[in-house]
Amino acid sequence: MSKSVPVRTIFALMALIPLVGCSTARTDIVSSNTMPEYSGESVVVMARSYHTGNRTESDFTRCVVNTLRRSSSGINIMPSEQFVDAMYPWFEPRTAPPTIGAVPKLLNNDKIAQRMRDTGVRYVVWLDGNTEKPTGGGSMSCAAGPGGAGCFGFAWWESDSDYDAAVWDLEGSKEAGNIETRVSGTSYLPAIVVPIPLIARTRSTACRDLASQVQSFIMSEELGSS
Amino acid sequence: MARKIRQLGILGGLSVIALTAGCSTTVTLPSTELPDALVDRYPLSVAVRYDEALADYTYSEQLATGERISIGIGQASQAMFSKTFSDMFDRVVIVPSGERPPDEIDLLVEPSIFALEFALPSQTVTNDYAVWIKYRLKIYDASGQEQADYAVSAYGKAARESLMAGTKSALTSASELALRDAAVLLLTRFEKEANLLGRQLPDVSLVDVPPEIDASTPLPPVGEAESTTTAEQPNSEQYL
Repeated sequence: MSKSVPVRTIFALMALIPLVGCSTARTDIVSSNTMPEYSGESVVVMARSYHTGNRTESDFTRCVVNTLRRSSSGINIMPSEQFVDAMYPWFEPRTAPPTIGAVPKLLNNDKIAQRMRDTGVRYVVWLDGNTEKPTGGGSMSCAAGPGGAGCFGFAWWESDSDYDAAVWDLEGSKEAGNIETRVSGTSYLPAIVVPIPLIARTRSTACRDLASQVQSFIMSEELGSS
Repeated sequence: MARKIRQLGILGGLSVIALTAGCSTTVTLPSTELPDALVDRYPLSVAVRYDEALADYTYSEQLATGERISIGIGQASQAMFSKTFSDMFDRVVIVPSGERPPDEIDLLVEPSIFALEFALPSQTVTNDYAVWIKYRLKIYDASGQEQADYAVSAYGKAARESLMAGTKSALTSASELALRDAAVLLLTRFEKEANLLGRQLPDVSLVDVPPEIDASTPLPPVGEAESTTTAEQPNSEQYL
């Protein structure tokens, strides 16, 4: 019985360790101190086409969309699938306008321009970039037997989350702005019997930063045009 | 003791081989739901005659690991062609294989699947699954003269959503995207590829479509491949 006390204490101390690695974030800021209620048209958030080699993760796009939806600004986010289906086949990975300069030509067609108006979408946010793990090291070995299982060792890796968002204003057929964010961090995985992951959540930090800046940007654009 | 450990190691190794040797993944694509296309219809009456092997087309490949992956896209491809052509032309008639099309048609289109390839994360060195489908379209005019014979090279890519998600769901998503890409290529390039430009048509071309992008170039095939229903194998340069 007395032997179990130190084990329990060790586990309790482990639980107190904040399970995060260290990370640094840099975002090119477009700030807005006041956040009025948004009453403008819809916004669509999409990843750039994989046909151009873009590798933005789908869960990153989902994260940005959900963060914008949860924000208090009231920005109306249209699901990208719904927008792409409505504009089919002109916003597909192969056919989506590569630059804002190609949009006026697309909207020259009355049918497409009318459909675009029907969707109520004014801003398209194109996400680009991804998270990479450039370096890592350490070693860990795990073993299991009839008496139990455990791991011993230490591993670490770096994560670089590098994303940018291009905001297109379809009403004026102009690129309203470009927001970039870069978050780097190092994760650690020490293991003495039980592995304790200390994860640097660079992607979720980048998501929060980018969503916050996109929100501020669109709000300031709306204020400017109203 | 050392002998026992060696025996256990051999037993474990054999177990792993036995477990993985029999593995197979079969993806049968359901009819993909495509939205109504935002294009003007060509004022043409078109007959579509499907290649006999199209509906049952299944591509099967044995990987170096012993795993067999099969992708069935025949039914879904046929549904995609029917939906897309009905979006593109005023009138579409489906003609059973081997039968003559009606006399009053302007064009006869014969689609077939020329090749399919896929890549797994172990080959792409990413978290992505990719599928390439190469269709072949033969187009005849009303007099039965061949007007065009061209390939549609479609590409789809999907990431594995999580470590627990299987190969099947990601390959299905990638195949669906490739099928949709093929439909987009038909909608946006058919006029040029099928030599319709010489015909007296209204201005149906909506916008200039970006040129072919290198990302859709297939990777070299890995492992032994066999196609269960097509006579042609992806070894010809003509349509690759």
